[in-house]
Amino acid sequence: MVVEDDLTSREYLRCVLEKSGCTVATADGVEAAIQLFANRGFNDFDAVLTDYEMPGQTGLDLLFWLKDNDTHLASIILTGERDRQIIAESVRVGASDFLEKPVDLQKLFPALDKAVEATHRRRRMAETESAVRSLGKAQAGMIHFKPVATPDGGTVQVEVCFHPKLEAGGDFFSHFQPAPGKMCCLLTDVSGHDLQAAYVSAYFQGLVRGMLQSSVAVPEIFDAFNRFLIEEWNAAGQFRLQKKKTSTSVAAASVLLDFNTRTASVLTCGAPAPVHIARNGRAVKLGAGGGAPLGWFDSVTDPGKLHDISGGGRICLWTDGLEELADTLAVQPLCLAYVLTVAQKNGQKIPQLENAPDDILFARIYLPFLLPDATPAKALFLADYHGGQAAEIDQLAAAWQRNLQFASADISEATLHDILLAAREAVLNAMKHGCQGDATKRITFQISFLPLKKTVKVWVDDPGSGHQFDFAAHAVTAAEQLIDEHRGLIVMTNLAHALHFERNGASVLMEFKL
Amino acid sequence: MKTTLDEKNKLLTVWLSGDLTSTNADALRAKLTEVLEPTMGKPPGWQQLRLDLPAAKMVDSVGLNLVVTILRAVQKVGGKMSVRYRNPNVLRTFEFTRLVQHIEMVKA
Repeated sequence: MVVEDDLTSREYLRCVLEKSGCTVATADGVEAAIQLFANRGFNDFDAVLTDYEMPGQTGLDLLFWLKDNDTHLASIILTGERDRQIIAESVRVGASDFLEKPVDLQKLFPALDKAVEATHRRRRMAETESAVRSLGKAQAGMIHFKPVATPDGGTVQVEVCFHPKLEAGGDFFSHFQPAPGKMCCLLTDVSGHDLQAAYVSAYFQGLVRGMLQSSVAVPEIFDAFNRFLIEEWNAAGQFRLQKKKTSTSVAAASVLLDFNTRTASVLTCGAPAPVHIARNGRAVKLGAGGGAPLGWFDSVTDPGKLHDISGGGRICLWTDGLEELADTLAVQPLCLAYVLTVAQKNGQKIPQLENAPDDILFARIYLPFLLPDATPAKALFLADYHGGQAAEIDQLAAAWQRNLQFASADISEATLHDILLAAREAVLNAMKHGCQGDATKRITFQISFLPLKKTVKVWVDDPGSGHQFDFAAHAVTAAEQLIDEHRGLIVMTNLAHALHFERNGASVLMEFKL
Repeated sequence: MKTTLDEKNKLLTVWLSGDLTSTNADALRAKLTEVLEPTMGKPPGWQQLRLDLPAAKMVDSVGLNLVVTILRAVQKVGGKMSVRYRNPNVLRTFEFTRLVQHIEMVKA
């Protein structure tokens, strides 16, 4: 569109532009230009070339109007003299360029090309943003899953907590029913946070759904997609939406639940290991997790292990975005997941999410077996220590403290002291006696939280054979006769509200009331 | 750790800057041995020992065992021992381990 009050100049510009192949509409002022936009729409134009000095409203007024009504259409302003103030104001309002009158054709055509390109680029970006927003809405819908019925009349509930870094991302969770009595839960995390990542993720999810319905096993599907990424997607850059040189990789975790055999088989490629949390809050990692994501190497290894889930409980899966944020907050992913899901249920905002370095996706699958637990225990902390770490006990205890305070900010100083001291005694005892100080022997340490019962549970398991003795009698004589042995056990017994031993004391569970 | 001897009252004060736990108990035990062991068969110049823990928030079982070692040395010379504390969790620990039967607890 050429906007020029002077008839000669207006017709001159129309002629030269039409000669160069443009389709030109003309207006003799701002009012006529606005009317033209109203009649034909903004998308009928690729650029606006407007004079500054016109009777009534100026070219700058037109730019102001355009800024309010269409932010994509690029404009060039023509000034009769080199007025810096007008130029500066035009640029501020959004003019792509400015030209001095009389117009130099050597400058006009490159400026016009640039303006048209800018208009097209802005329109493409707007379309992409709209697509991303639509996809983001679809991803946000992941947090609402309908319960799935199982053959024995139970239901599986799925709870998802999703916080994309941008409007859409590469993290995705879904579940499918490949056969009666089976359910496959799939979590994916594609490298990148853009539309391409979201597209690859959605494509993979669709592929898994389709192939599972054709009775293809999960490891074979992962293997097929891995080969597709390496041999086709990453090899053929032209398929990509963006001209990036980086390869696409997909971290994925699948949990295939078989309700007939009450087992779960897990396959992870570059994703954290899912964790099974029993009804009493006891947590166990299902597999090693990690490894290479799909798209890196040419083979997918199936651990082929079946995990017993007959006791019910929950299975938790998450993407590495949760682990990265947990690292920056110096807490464990399970603890952060607990805090995020509580905040999501209560409609609270978590300020730390603002600085999350990646998309965050956390899914919790409630298994159907047995009666639902009215007071489910939430696992907060799960770690392996070795027998040679006694000198690091202060750092280990500091990590327990951070997680407890993050999960329950109002925990009293006295309760915190009791938990930390008793846990410290149990871990030191496990390192010294259960592992005999041997760095090749492992201890598992875990903290769970029962919010409704306001109880914290601490488990310490060592590989030793335990030790049996008459504690009640010993506690009295140890104090009266100043005996050194077993003072740690006396401390644990007095601080915990309940103390349970298994395997002759090699497994200890301590319960603390908040 | 710092030690001061009040010769007039025959009071030896052992001052610690923080917690008394497994991570510092062994080092403290080595330093205290020099102070508590009688030299050349002579009795020490103190009759009372005060363990001063004004900044301690935690005393664990290894720390308590060190306290018991000190207590035995004090009893050996017929003396008395007290612990000065500020944090109530420290008092609770001495109470439930029944060490308060042998040691006077003094609030800082």
